[in-house]
Amino acid sequence: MTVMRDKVVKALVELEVRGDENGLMPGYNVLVNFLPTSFWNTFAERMLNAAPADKKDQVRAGLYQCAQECGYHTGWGIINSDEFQSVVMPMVTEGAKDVLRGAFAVFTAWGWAKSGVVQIKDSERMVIRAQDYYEQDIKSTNEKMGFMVKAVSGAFFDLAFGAKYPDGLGTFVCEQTKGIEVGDEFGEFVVTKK
Amino acid sequence: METSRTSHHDVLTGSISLTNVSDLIQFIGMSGKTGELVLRNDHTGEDGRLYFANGQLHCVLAGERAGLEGLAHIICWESGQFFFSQDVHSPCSNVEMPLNHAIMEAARLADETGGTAGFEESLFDALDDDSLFDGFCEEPPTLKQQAQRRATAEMKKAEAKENLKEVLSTLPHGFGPTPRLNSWSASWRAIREKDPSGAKTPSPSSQDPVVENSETPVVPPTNPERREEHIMRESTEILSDLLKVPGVDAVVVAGRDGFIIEAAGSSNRVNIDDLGAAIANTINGIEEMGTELNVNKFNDLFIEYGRAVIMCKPVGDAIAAIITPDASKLGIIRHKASKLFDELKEIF
Amino acid sequence: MSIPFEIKFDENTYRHHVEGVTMVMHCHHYMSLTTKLADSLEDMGGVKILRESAEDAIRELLDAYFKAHNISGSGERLNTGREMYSVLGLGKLEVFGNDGGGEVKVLRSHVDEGWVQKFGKSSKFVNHFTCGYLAAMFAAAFGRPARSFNVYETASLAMGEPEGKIIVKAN
Repeated sequence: MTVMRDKVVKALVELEVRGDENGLMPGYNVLVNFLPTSFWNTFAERMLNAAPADKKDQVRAGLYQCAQECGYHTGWGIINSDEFQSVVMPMVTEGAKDVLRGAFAVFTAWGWAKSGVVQIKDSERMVIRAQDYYEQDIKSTNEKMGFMVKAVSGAFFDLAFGAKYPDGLGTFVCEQTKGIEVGDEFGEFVVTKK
Repeated sequence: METSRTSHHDVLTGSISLTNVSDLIQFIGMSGKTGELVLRNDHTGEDGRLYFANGQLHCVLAGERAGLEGLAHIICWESGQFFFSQDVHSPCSNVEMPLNHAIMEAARLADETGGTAGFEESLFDALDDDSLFDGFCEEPPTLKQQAQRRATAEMKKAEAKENLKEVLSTLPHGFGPTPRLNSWSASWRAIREKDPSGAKTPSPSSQDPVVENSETPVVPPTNPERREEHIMRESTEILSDLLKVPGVDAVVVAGRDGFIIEAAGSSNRVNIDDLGAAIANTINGIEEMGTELNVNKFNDLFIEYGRAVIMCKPVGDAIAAIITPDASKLGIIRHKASKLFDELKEIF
Repeated sequence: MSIPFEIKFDENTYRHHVEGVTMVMHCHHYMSLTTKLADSLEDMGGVKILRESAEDAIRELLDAYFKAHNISGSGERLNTGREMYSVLGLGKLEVFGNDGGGEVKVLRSHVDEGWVQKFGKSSKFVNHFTCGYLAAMFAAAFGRPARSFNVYETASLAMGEPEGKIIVKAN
């Protein structure tokens, strides 16, 4: 038995998203918001398009960092949440590998990207593929724009094989090797040690 | 590939690397030809000779191997030359089944023997029940046990040979489906696509179409650059090659969690995500069973639905599934897909 | 009072939609760092880009919502926009205004409170997202095109004020 993503997706796909009496959504150890994907996409796209050549790398690094910290902290909140403990953990038989599979199943169920694990080498390398991620809608930059999946993949691997939370952030780094937004059939993301 | 006319015979020649042996044999069978097909393996220098009468394969000779054993040996060759001479008659008859069935049987034997090993050495080892239980033992067998097993295996080999003869002699005339056009035409298209100009392949045989006694220079067995390129191939390319195997409808690679990593082919009839989940659930169940029984990891899984078959195989940390609507092609699919699966293992 | 809010799941793409608009959850870390990135690249118009991105995205959502729920009155639209702000987990507002502009009290704020949780008290205004949101809300309510309203903060929860204050003015 390993984590079966269809079971996770079916269990978690119905989002319970709505601000409380203060208009806030505390959950998973963070404050959650629920916004149009076009906001995040437009921001990334316009920032990159507006940046002069010497600042493009700074923008890319910034976009990566935003998602990396999001993935690390929210990821921690997710794997310690009641949902994860009740739905995913009973299926975990292969330790960190299964927790990662579960995390990507949740990642899929919550609409970030239809993504999953292709290969994991403990503490060394992980390959993720995504057939549908919202950043694939960004076309005008003519470059790979999957900052969210990229950085979150790295952050999840940090949680699995880096130092104990919250000291493991940035142990691993992720590169996007393929992107639907640049004409590939899927997005591919490779995590390696920094 | 080209045809030419010598003083006595029409000759068809070409390079094996541009097609594959089974497609070539099927083509000759479909054409209803009578004659001799000579295959020359560049790698080993061996010759194989196949004799046809009105498209029916009558005789196979390959060094010391003959009949199905010879065909199983030849069918794996990937490089070399072939020459077909019309109206050469068969010196003997050692293939006693329809062509298509012979190809399937040979492919199956080749698959079981790892493609290159001898028929006797490996086919009957596979029939040795004792070896099936090796996976149950934590300790390796002692020398005495090994000797006993060898003796048992020898007896079983003799028995199996007799049984095989009986089975072959009882096969009805015309057994097995007629070869379909698509397998050859697909290969033909592939050849044309590789060389759209239609220019001749610069091979010794194309320069000298005379078959008999042509002194073919030995080409180095492997080209290192090509090999490297082979290793670096993308999974998408490999899946696309799997789809070219005749009879394969769709190919799916799924993670152990049911995540569809990649898919190719006509899988519109099923929801691809559901298929991934179903495959993963099934494999997990089978692996659990294997663990409980303390046997080795599973190698293959065949699920038959009428004539359609789903064949699953582990590829690294993932599972590859091939969907074929025609179970009769399973042997040849297994044979042809084997190396592609090995390539996929490197990726996943 | 709260507004109906139905999230639809697309079984093919696994995306979530509200009235046809694709939506996604994120956390205050993401929002705070995005805000900080825009601030740090102010020399290339980072803050303006953030505000305008928010305005355009929220306008699309509000227009779709108003259409789907047949909401046509300006007052009702302003009120729905205010409610939507809370439903999306962005905080709690009090809104006073007309087609010339208005004044908005920020009682609770995802952006400001998230910022404080992550970085501590801020020395400057950081709620650029809400400024963009309000520009979209006023323009959608009064049927005006994008960039019809100028929006600026005068008090900030992130800077330690008990409530935030944002001024909206028609161009």
